[in-house]
Amino acid sequence: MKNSIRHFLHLLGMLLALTSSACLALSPGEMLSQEEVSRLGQLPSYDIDANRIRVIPPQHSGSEDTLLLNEQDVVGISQNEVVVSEAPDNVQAVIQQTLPQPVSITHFAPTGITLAKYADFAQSVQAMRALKAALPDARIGLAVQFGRPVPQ
Amino acid sequence: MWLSGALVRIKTTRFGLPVVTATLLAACDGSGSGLDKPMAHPLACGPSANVREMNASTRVMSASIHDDMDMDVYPCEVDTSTGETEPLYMFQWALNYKDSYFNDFPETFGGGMDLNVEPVHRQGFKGQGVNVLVVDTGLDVFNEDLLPNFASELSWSFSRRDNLPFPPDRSKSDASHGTAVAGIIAAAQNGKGVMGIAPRANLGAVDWLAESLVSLRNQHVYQVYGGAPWSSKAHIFNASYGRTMALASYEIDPVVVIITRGLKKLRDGMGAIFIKGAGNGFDKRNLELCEVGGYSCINPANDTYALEPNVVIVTGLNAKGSASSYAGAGSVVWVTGMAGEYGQRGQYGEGASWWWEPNDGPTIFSTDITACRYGYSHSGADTSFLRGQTQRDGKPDNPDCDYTYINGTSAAAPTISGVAALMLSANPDLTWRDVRDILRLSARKVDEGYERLVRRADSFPSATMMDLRTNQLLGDVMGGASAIFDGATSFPLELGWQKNAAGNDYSNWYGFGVPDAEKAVALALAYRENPALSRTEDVQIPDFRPVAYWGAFKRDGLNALDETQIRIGPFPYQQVTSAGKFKWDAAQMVDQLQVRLSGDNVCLGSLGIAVRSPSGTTSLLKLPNDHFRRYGIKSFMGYGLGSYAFYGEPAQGDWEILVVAANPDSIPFYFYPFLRGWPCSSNDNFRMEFEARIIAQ
Repeated sequence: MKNSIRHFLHLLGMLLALTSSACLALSPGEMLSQEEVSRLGQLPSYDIDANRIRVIPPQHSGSEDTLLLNEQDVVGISQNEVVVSEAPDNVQAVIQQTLPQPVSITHFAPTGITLAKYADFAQSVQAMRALKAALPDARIGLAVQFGRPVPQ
Repeated sequence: MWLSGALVRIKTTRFGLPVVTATLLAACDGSGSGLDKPMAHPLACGPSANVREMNASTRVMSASIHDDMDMDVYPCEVDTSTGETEPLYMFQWALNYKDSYFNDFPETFGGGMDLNVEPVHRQGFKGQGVNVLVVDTGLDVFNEDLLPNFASELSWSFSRRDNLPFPPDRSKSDASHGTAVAGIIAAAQNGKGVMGIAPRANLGAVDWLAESLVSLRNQHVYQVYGGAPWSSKAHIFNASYGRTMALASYEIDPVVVIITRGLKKLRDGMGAIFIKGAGNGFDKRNLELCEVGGYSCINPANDTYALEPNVVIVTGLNAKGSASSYAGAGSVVWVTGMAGEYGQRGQYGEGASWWWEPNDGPTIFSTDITACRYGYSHSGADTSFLRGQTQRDGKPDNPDCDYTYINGTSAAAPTISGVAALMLSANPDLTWRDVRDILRLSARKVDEGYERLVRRADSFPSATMMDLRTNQLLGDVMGGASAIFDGATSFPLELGWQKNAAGNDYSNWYGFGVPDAEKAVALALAYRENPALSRTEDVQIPDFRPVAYWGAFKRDGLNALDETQIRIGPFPYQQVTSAGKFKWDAAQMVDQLQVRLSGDNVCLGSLGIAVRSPSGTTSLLKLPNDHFRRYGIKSFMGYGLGSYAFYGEPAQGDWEILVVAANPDSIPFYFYPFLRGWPCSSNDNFRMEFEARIIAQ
């Protein structure tokens, strides 16, 4: 009897653990309620082009992704990248020479788009601001996805 | 008349050679259509179906092979056959309405139309040399009707990391989507199955949308949209997908703008053609949406791609010649393709619906994942055709479930991609603007007077007035554009077809109408003969400018506005209120009018937006009581809206923005399950900012 109760409690504990971790699983595009947002506690935030972006603490250790909340409480995902277009031909050199320096740069030549990856989200914000100053005629932003499209 | 016109054009000479002769010479001397080379000449000879299939198979078996698309032996004759060669053609009412199998079922068929592709096929234009990329859930490359046109060098699989984009998990409900979409565009004319609208186009695919892909990187987005070697070869992107439920910040979040405008660099600067579904905003069966047939509570403009002029937004028509009961409507719709209804009953989807169901009737036939275990056609499906059990003349016609039918604007978009491929095969030098223009110029006005008829299931005429104080419909009272004025307490839900001051007919339900492929190809040839018709310059997109501020209190930073553009006091819900006029000084012609809204403590779901042009045309850009009511959205930043209703009108003059604000404290007239954030109003320190701009031609 005792054993079966122990097993039951064990299973219940596992179930609760699974449920609570499922509650924490946020996915891009999801809009959080006020209650859900307040459960996340005080979040570090950045003011970017009149938009306030909050950073959600990593859900898994070692994750390279940064989950974000925009002003409308929609979850976005960033890989700490800055995207640049409508820039001069030497854009890669400019990015390389601008601090903070990127971890990597990918240039999509056919569409003239450049993606620079940084060590963390804070650096990507810093770099975006620096690049806007360095490339005033270019279109520059954080490469954040607020959800994936679905067949329709 | 158009047919004869087109034939005359074909016979005219260019560079001293008749076009057909030049084509034959070009094809026979081996200067045909490699994917990396310029596109083929309009009537380029191709290999026979067997040769094509053999070569395609070879390419599939050896994924690394990037040999060009010129095949071994070219029978240099123009193939002028129509889809009659294909056994399932009789079900493809979008290609041949007159002789359709469904004519025997007047309850669900009749009074409709097709895309008029047969005259084009008879001229030999079948999409030769045109590269179409289906951005979707993958492609069953081995389907017998897709294999002949499949181009691995135009394809990518994010799951396999090679250029064979099979659906990553065939058991997923969306696994067949890309395969069905692709078949509508380019199923081969090979005596098997169905006929694609452009049956000789080169078909690429990517599995980017596959549900089972969970580890997508941001980088992939840029690869998909023309940045990778495989996607950069695409001439046409088909996007039967969207995020129309989203609340996005247009242009403030620059990703969509960067991606979309990057597409203009493809095709040596002529721009890729990007065709996108409007979404199924009327889908009564989706509990996420408003539970009513006559009210499109999901605006296609919510997906900010739809606001970019180089994205062609397509909604859907059913087999009875009116809007598919689910198809999204809105002022960013460009044209209408073929989509049908649900196809749930009968042997081939011809059956009528039960009384409690939405409209039913046939849909769009296409290809499916092979075998009856997975895919839309499978052993447990609704109709005997989808179960692989039908027979005609004693022979099974879908024994391996290789074929299916689909609906949605997912089906409508590829019908227009197919027409665009026919146009590009007739004239590879068309720019993205030319293709868009020609789709509009060839479009037919359909379902005239629809706003005063019941056109969606168990519904009401869409011009019915809604009382903004109660959110209820006003019985039989209908209205038009003149009923939208400052101080009005009701408004019509839909304005129907309107002719603007430039003479263009436009409707939120149909855009500029249903393209006619014969007319479109004739125009493409006319542009070829007279390149001066082509529009090689980009549209002019200025920055947004502030045009009004409403708030409970005045705030700093309103210097750009004069006093008439500032309104202080409670938010004027339950009525139509002018947000003032803004003057546009430039002597330009309108391409698209855009409005952008930012607000705090304002019930976005209760707001409608109408705009009146200096020429007097009125457009409804957003309806009140849309799906944002459900979520109680009160904070938004740069929410974008657009309208093509003013296309071609002079931009210069005074434009008026009218806010059509419903009652945020009252439940909408339709039953709305799971209403969150109700009541929605709050006047405490609210703020609402209006910006606008005119994208000029």
